[in-house]
This record gives sequence, C-alpha cells and structure tokens, in this order.
Amino acid sequence: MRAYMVVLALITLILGIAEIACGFGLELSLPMPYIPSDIFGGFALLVISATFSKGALSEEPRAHLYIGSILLAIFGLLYILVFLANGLDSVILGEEWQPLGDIRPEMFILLLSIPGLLSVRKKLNENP
Amino acid sequence: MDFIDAIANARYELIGEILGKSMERTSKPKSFSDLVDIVVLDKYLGIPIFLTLMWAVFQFAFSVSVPFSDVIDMFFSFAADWAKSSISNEILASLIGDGIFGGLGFVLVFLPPIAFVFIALGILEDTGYLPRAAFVMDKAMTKVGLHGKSFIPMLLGFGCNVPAIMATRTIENDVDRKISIMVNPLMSCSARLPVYVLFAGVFFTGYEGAVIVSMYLLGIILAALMATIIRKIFFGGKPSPLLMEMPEFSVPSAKSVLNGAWIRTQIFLRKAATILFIGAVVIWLLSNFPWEATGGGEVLENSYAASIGHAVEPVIKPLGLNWKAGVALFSGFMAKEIVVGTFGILYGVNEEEIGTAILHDFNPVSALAMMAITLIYLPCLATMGVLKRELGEWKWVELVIVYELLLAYLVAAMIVGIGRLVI
Repeated sequence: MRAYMVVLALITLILGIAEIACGFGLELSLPMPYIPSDIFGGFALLVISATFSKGALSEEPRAHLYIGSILLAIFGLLYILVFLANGLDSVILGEEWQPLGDIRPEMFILLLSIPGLLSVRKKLNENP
Repeated sequence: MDFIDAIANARYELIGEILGKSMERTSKPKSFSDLVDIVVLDKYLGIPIFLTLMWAVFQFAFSVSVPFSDVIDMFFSFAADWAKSSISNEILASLIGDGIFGGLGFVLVFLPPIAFVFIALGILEDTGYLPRAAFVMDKAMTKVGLHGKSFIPMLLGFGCNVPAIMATRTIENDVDRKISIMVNPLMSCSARLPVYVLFAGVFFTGYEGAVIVSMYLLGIILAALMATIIRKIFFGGKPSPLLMEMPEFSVPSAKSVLNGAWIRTQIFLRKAATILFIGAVVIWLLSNFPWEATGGGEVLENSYAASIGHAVEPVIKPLGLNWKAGVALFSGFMAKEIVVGTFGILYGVNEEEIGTAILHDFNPVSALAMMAITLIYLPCLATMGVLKRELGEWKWVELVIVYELLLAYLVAAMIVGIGRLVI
C-alpha cells in the first residue's frame, strides 16, 4: 500500500508542478500531452500528492489512501463533467468543439483512485 | 501559550479526567470517520484540503453549468425578439421585450451556477465535512477576531447573506455574534456572481476562474480585516473558545442533497419573480423615459437613469467608472442580481451582446474595480433588513453601511492605482 501511495504521490506531484508552471506561462518540453495551464488545478494536485506522501510515512496509511483517492476521484469526475459540459455547450450553440483542448491528465489518473475507493467501500461496509 | 489556549487545555484535561473515571477503554478498530478525521483535521493538510475542495465546488458550479445557462440565454433572447417583433404598440413591445424578458433573462442565466453551488455545498454538508472545515479554520478565525462557529455562517454567505446572518444565532457569545453579523455581507453571495462572470469573461478570458476566486478571497480577507478592526475599536477582548461535536462521516444521499439545493434555489427564483422583476421594470422605465426625449430608449443620455448616473459619476469617475456603472450600482442596492441586467437595459443589448457593449466603457483595471465595488459597497435591501433585526440597533447597521462604502472606495482606488502603475 505504501509503495502504491508513493507512486501516486510522485505522479500527482509531477503533474501538479507541470500545471502550475504552464499556468505561469513557462513552456515545458514534457513527454506528456494535455497539460493545462492551471495554477489552482495544479495546487489541487499538489495537495493530493502531499496527502499520499504523508500517508506513505504515517502510522495510518489507510486514512491517507482513503482521502487521497477520494480527492483524486473528485477531480477526475469533475473534469470529465467539464469535458461533457463543453461538448454539450458546443452542440447547443452550434459551434465547433475541440475535444482535445478539454482533455486533462486528471481524467486519466482517476483510474488510479479505484483501489483506494474500493478499500473505502470495504471499510464502510465493515465499520462505517 | 495564551489565555485562550490555557482555558482550552484545562477543559480538555478535565474532560480527560472525567472520561478516565467513567469510561472503560476497549480496543475497538477505528471507524471510517476516525480515519478520515486523521487526515482532514491534520495540522498541515486540513486547510489545503479545505481550499482544494472549495476550488472543486466553484469549478463544478461555473464550468459544468455553462450549457444550462446557454439554454436559458437562448430562450430569453428568442422571447425578447418575439415580443419586439410581434407586439405592435412600441412602448409595450419595449417593456415586454427589453424590460421584462431582457431583464429577467440577464438574471436567470445565473440560476444554473447558483443551483450548482448549492448542490456542491449540499454534498459537503451531507457528508459531515462542513463542521470539520469549521474546526480546521477555527485557529485562523480566532486570530482575526472571529469565533470558530462563525465559519459556517461565513460559508453560507457564499450562497446568500440573509440565511447566513440568521445562522449566526448558533454563536452564544453576543460580541462574537455581532462581529460575525457585521462582516458577513463581505462574503461574496451568489447575487454578485453574475457581475464577476460577466466582467471576468470579457476582460480576463482564460483566467475567469482565477479572477472569480480572487474576488471570493478578497471578500474573506476583508472580512478578516474588518473583524479585527471592529473588535479592537468597538468591543475588545478575544473570541470565546470553540467546542463542538463532530458528526460521523456518511455517504451523501442524492435525494437530500437535491432537496436542499432546490429549497435554496427557490429563494433565488422567488426573488427573481418579485424584487428582480420589479427592478427590471423600474430600470426599463428609468432608461426609456421621457419616451419622446429618449426616442423610445434610443438616446439614453436623455433618460432619467442618465440623470441619476450623472449625479453619481463625479464620485466614481476617478475609479474609471462612468454614469452607466453608477446607475447599475445604484440599482444593485435593491438586489445585486440587477446590476448585470441594468447594464443590458442601459446598453440596449441582449445577453450575447453585453460583453461587446461593456468593452467600450471598461478596461481590465476598471473591470476589476467594478467587481470589487460590487463585492463590497452595500448590502442589498433584504440583507439590510436582516442586519437590523439581528443586530437590534440601527447604529450597528449604520456602521456596516459606512465601513462598506468607505472600504469599497478604498479598495477600488487601490486596484486602479496599482493597475495604472502595472499597465
């Protein structure tokens, strides 16, 4: 569990820094597509990274895995909703939609929250 | 350790002593709530997690609601065009098309983001997170002279200041309660949102979210500043310590969240059907009459609205604002939602064209000043009524009016001054 949390902490840390750097107008030559210029979004990823990092070193890693995974899922779902809303809006207005411009890494790393969310579900069934 | 910490520690020691004598400890596994509390109440992670969740709430409200707002916008634009082309009487056509459909359309396009804010806050409320947020923020709140329990009313102020001020009744100490009430109008209620969305969308394209959040943060910072000043000048002392019971965390129920959001959204809809409807008609009358002199609303300079605006203009001109902004701010006293609708009626444009219209009279600096003034300058009529009822004496209400007007002018002047240096 701790190793998985370290991996999640690193991924969210790198993406968070990249989003903030792009937000400040820095042009990064990263091997990753779809990095938005979003300072606040990057800050959110850094907070998620800090949650996983602290969990990896803590006596209660489960607690940090739960919250980190819930936050990861919240942002993943949020950006999927924004993506769908933008698509729907372009249909309503009859404008051309550039779906690639609305894709964000949070939509993909949402999948990494699944193990944490499953353990939340298990815990809630056992001892709410 | 200061006096308040010493009292809190003594209380916890006593609680521990009583529990030690009356309770037998068993090794029960930690519940989900216990585990979650370790993280969300953490000394270092608590506040960043809270800020992150607030960011998610506003992203959800502003970005996901866009298609719904556009549908409402299209409906009212169609209705206004239909009224103007189908009604033969010029005055009636203008009243129904520009005044009623135009005015209400400007307000109702903001119904979806407001409803979405209520849905998101409802989810946080239903999970049991909000009392944790109050606990996390207690230390920061105490430092600025506010009680920890003020946090929930402050948060509710993001929706509407009226129920938020009423929610301060949970604060037992009278001084703590009065201070919380007096700074609550600085919390940016949903009625100010249309102004931010309009100006941020036009002048800060690509950074709308950041600019809107900065307005909310400005409100929080000013509330903290004013709470400190009001306590020091008028009351003295320190806020009483916070003791509260944390509810268990639970999975939110969709029915309860949607019901709660619907009840809160209804308040906005009722306001739209009454105060905002009357406001739209009054603004239409002021901007179209005398009918002959304005050429049926074509020459605004000759309207009653222009007279009011020109009277206010000398005061706001140094801030880069013209008489139209003066009329909009004047009408905003009735309800802040009317500000954007007033611009629409004054410029004689619909929702789609308002962005282009304001480009002529504002620049990014004056747009920012306009947003800050709308945030700070005066509580709306309904809030004023609740302020009087909850504070009891007119002198405190007058204090709120005076400090808000002065603060609005000062902040706007600072924005303009700094803006001129930078640009």
